[in-house]
Amino acid sequence: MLNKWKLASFASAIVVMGAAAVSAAPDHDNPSGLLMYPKIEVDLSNNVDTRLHISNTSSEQTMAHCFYVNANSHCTNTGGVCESFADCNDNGVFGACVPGWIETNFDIFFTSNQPIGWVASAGLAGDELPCRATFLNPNPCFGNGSNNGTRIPPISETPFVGELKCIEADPDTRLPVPCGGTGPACANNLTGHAAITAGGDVASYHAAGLEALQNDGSTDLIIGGDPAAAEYEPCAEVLVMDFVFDGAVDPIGDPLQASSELTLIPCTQDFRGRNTPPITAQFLVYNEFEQRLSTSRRLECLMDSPISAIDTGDPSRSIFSVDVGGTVTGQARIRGVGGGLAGVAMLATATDFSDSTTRVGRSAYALDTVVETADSAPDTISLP
Amino acid sequence: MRLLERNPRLSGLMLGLAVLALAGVRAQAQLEVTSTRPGSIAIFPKVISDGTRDTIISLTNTTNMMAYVHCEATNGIGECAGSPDPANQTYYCNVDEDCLNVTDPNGSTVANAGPCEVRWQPGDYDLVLTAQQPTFWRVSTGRVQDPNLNSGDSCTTNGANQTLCPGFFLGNGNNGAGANIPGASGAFRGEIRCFQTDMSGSLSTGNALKGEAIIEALNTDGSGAGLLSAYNSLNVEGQGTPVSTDTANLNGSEYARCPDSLTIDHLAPGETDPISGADVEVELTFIPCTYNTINPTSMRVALNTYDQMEVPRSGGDIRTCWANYRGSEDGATANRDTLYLRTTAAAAQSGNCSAGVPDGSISCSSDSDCGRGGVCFDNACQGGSTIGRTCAVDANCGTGGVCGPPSGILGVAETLYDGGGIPGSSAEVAHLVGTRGDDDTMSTAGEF
Repeated sequence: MLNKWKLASFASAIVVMGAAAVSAAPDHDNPSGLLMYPKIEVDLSNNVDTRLHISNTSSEQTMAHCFYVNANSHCTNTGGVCESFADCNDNGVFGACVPGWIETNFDIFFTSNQPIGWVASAGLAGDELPCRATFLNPNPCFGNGSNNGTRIPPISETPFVGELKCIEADPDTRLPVPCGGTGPACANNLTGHAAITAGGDVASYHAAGLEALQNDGSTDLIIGGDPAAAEYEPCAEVLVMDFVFDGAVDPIGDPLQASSELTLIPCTQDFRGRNTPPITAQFLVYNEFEQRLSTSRRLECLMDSPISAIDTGDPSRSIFSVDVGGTVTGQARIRGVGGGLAGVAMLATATDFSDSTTRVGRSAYALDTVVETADSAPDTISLP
Repeated sequence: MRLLERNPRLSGLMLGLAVLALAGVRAQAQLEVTSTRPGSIAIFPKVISDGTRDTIISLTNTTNMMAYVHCEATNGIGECAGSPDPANQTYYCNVDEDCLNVTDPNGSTVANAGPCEVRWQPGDYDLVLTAQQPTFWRVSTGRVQDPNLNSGDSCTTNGANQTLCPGFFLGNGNNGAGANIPGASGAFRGEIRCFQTDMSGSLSTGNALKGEAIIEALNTDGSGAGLLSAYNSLNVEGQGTPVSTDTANLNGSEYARCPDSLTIDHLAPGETDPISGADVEVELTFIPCTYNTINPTSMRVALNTYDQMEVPRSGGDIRTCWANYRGSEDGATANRDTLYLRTTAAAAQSGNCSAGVPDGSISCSSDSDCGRGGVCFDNACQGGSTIGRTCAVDANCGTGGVCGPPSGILGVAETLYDGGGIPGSSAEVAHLVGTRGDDDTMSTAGEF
């Protein structure tokens, strides 16, 4: 008679092997159940605003529960938005510039195959809704369905730097529909796109999407980790960014200089307890000579920085500047310690790379994602 | 020796668990075409170098081992047949309609300078990337290795209009040490595909490659205007040892299958941007998944655009090699009633010849209709090959003809803004939906 223990061990090994096989580095190309927009930027005094776009790729109606995160820092004395204590001068008395984290959530109801768009500074509600059902017109759109229940607020202040996360959800519970396992397949129907306009030039990027794998309907969403428990694809352990070293002369646009920005957000988010877990981003930078330099930076909610300001206050001494890097292009591998990261990079041309007011053009592109271990610690999103 | 008593229930359980294990392993090996993970083939669907814009290709080896790369740059530009002498001006086009009402060098309007003759011209080059090495080149001028340039020097241009930049460039033997990447010969609108190979030039599935294309507008004097559109390359993951040394089988087990369809979120062309007030035009660029160096591959692009009221409208047509749709001119996207649109694109209907030789049954109007080596005689193709031609049945492919399934498609969307004081542009690759049930192939045969 076969040893039962051997059978149990064999069975366990197979389950583990099968389960471990599911985890893979996420890609941002497919419709998904969770969208992350790492950079929302609004500064109406400088004609900067962000246009947001989400589409339902399904022929069924669906709903997204979304969260704006305002990552502005504020002065302790004036309450105004600040980037450093120098912005907090009140009649010669300086306050502290304290990082902030303020969340606003809202719902979007989609009809089938519907694209929805809005401008961050304006929001979208009421008569602006494309398929607004009324008593006299209960089916305003081509199919049956309406956007009733949708109310997208304008962002809470300007200037504004922050992020947006949207989760495909049940319209009644505002939580993801239980799915996976022996239940129905998980809904992965959302695609997203953001376009940041400054003056007239536009930098656009795809929202980073994580596919839903399974869900128990709870308020805690498990992102990656043990494949048997993961409810969404994992966030990247390592983000890979190709970039042009700051200050490098544009090979096409001589004498214009390259100037890049990097925005990173943590995957883990506690919308219920309003806690921001600390994360450190480690950077490995390679130039075209294969020479390697490194630095690290702590994330307080969101990091939005010119790349040559990540590691120093003097851009010419940064490992991201051409004065140190020595070649035109580089590769940066960005690892999150304490949690996964998502992000977006922006390449710009300017007459002086260290002065953003001299910027001529800007464009955005996604960062590549790498997952190196199948069962690293998961990220979590806690919903209210 | 103890005999093992056979237990049927146990055997069944073991078999079931083994199947589950294999299923798990297959899931781990699931390959994808993706823009945010490295792959074994990096594809740049929209590359422009035509005097109004130029492109920088950035390519990185993301692994800790050497990566050998073979790139195919295919020019899909069209020229109006009635273009004046190239010394004066050439009218570039995508479709016949682009040749209508063009302005000649004297400022007069030419009612019809067409038809649009789409060129299909592949070219190739090789490079070697050391571990974790990033590199780049400019499409119009290529790049030349110059070991005398110091770290931190700016790029320069030599007398042959080639770009020299500080950095480390390696040839792989085919081009010799200090290999250069040639600049485009003339105006270029097309695609670039870079295949990871081994040292001998045979295809390899190391999944090392990722890249970006940066399209920059030029001033009238040819200098850079600084206005950029950047997008990620589409990377095809692979695994194992390819069966062929020069043909990638995108069948899901060797290389990833192409997506079943694409979806693109964009503004309605002809509308104004709600932030800047600039006029909006949208360009959707598609290339066939299937590729070979013998003949261009045709694709029937089926577009379906939904507006915010869920109203669908269809468009698209048959294109060859490189298709650049202007949103204001296509039935699916033009003259829509809402600002925000969602367009899906799929390859449909017609197949493509995967083998065959014209036998007099292929009609033509010029030699270019007959593929490489073909001649149009008495409105029928003689010689050449039918590979890549649109077909419905094997007979459409001539002698020995095989009509394969339609090619998958890949694409990029670019939004162009004009007005509001500053022109601008932005680009992204299309979202990828599902996986095709049919295989595609990418062949570099004849180029090594």
